[in-house]
Amino acid sequence: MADTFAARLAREMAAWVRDGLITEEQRAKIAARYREAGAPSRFLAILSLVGGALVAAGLALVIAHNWDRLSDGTKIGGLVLLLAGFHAGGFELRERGYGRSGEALLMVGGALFLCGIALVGQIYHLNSRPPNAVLLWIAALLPIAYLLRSAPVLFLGLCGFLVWIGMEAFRSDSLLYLGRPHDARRWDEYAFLSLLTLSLPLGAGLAAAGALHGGTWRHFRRLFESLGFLVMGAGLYSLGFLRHMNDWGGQESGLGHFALAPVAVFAVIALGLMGATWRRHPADPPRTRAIHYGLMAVSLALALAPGVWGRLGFAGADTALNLTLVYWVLLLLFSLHLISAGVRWERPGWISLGILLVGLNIVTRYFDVLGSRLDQGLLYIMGGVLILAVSLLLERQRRKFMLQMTGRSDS
Amino acid sequence: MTVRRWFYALVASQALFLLGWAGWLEAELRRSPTVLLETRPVDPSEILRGDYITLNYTIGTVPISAFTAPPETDQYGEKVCVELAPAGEFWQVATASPGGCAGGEPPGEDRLRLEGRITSVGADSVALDYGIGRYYVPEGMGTPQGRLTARVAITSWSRALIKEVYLDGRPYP
Repeated sequence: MADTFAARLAREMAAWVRDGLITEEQRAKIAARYREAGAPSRFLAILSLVGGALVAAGLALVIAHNWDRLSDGTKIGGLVLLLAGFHAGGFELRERGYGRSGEALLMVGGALFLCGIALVGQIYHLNSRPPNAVLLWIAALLPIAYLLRSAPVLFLGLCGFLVWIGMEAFRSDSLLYLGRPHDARRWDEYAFLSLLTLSLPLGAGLAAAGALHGGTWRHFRRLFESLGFLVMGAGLYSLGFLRHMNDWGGQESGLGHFALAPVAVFAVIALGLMGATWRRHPADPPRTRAIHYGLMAVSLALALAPGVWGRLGFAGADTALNLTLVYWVLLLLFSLHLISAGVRWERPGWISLGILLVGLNIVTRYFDVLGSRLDQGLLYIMGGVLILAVSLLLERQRRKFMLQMTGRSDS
Repeated sequence: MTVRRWFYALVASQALFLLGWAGWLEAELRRSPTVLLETRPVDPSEILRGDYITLNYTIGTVPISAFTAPPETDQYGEKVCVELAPAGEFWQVATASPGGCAGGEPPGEDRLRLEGRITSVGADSVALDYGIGRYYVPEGMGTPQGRLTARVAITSWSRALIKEVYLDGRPYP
């Protein structure tokens, strides 16, 4: 948080000097004052994190060493004390201005509640439905995240939500089950493949839900958007391997096994959220907003494509190859849009993610397409050169985009 | 109410939830009737998963003939209510019916109701999961050699909680 403030202050002060509000000398004095005030708190934050980690590691070692000798009551009581202590410590540190250290302790406290659920489950040998434990954990985390406006605790809760979706996707007794109906104890590879298609509406929905946050929760918006687009990017990237995965489980016509109903439900929810937040996206320039919504809509449609195509009888290797090519192109367009919209709407996180996805896409496609065609030595040499060139070029571009964004906000 | 009070109320509710949940399970374990269940040996490669033993109960496989209405093959995850009755040293499934155990006539004398979920439907039998398939043990004790039996408490809400596991008749671990 301190870095963001310092960066914003530097930008603002440059504008103040330009507008004649303050002199260059005054700008330098203000900058020096905040450097001095910032340095010890950052140093203290690092020290407290290291100290906290050492105490936690020591405690874990002592507990692990004596675990079997501790009674069940001591285990649960000790965990409850740690949970309360980390929460109280985190809250009080935040109140006293040590935001980062406080947030770190709150995150540990949040994680300890999940440990508590697991501990009770272990002591009483409960193992009927692990996803319920994760859902319970999310239900405990979110009120604290919203009450304290804590982005790190919210991050933990959103990660828990994604894990919960993943766990439900593999359980045949779940409404969110994405595999084929069969013996619940068996692994179903199509649950995994369908989870990749589900990631598109899931990510789009998360990103759109971010725009619902205003007022004192405004800073949550960027977290929802970044995580949502990360989920979408990961899903699109993985679907770029569809042609290799279509015959998993020894079935040539695998597309017909892709789950449709849960993905469609999520797509409808994502569409609803996108519609509800249409006006909350910057209208300027209108073309960027139109492209944004267009790409999201195409992604939702392509999440359903394997299942629909498969059920219409186009379930062979040709369809899988065509869909793979479409996912490659969509990933490229999605990455370029993240960069472009990131510059225009001042979202540095989008720019970095977009750049990363462009680089990953180029390098992956190189190995994916040429991997079996080139001599191994030549493949590695050219691959290495490509990775170096792409990373240098993209990092230069990223810096240029960041400067472009900063420069515009200064003017 | 201030943010501080709301925050501490939320943390206290988390702590109370964990303590209350553990206390409630402990009370259920103490006051519920218990039955002795037989387990079958499982494939050794599946016995050890981390630090727990996988218990394969004989009541986990119910013959189709025990069902009042046989389940269909696609009813994975559906609830089944079984009635347990003593049969010699162990308790066995007397009857089974699709659907949960809530409501209905009380079980007969010397009988207890237990709810499970279908995991697979075969030609002659149905595999059920009662949520008691894992027994957590201290590190390195997950591969006991011998005959395993389990004393299980059947709660008033027809769920099972493992009270103790025996290896060749002796408490384990």
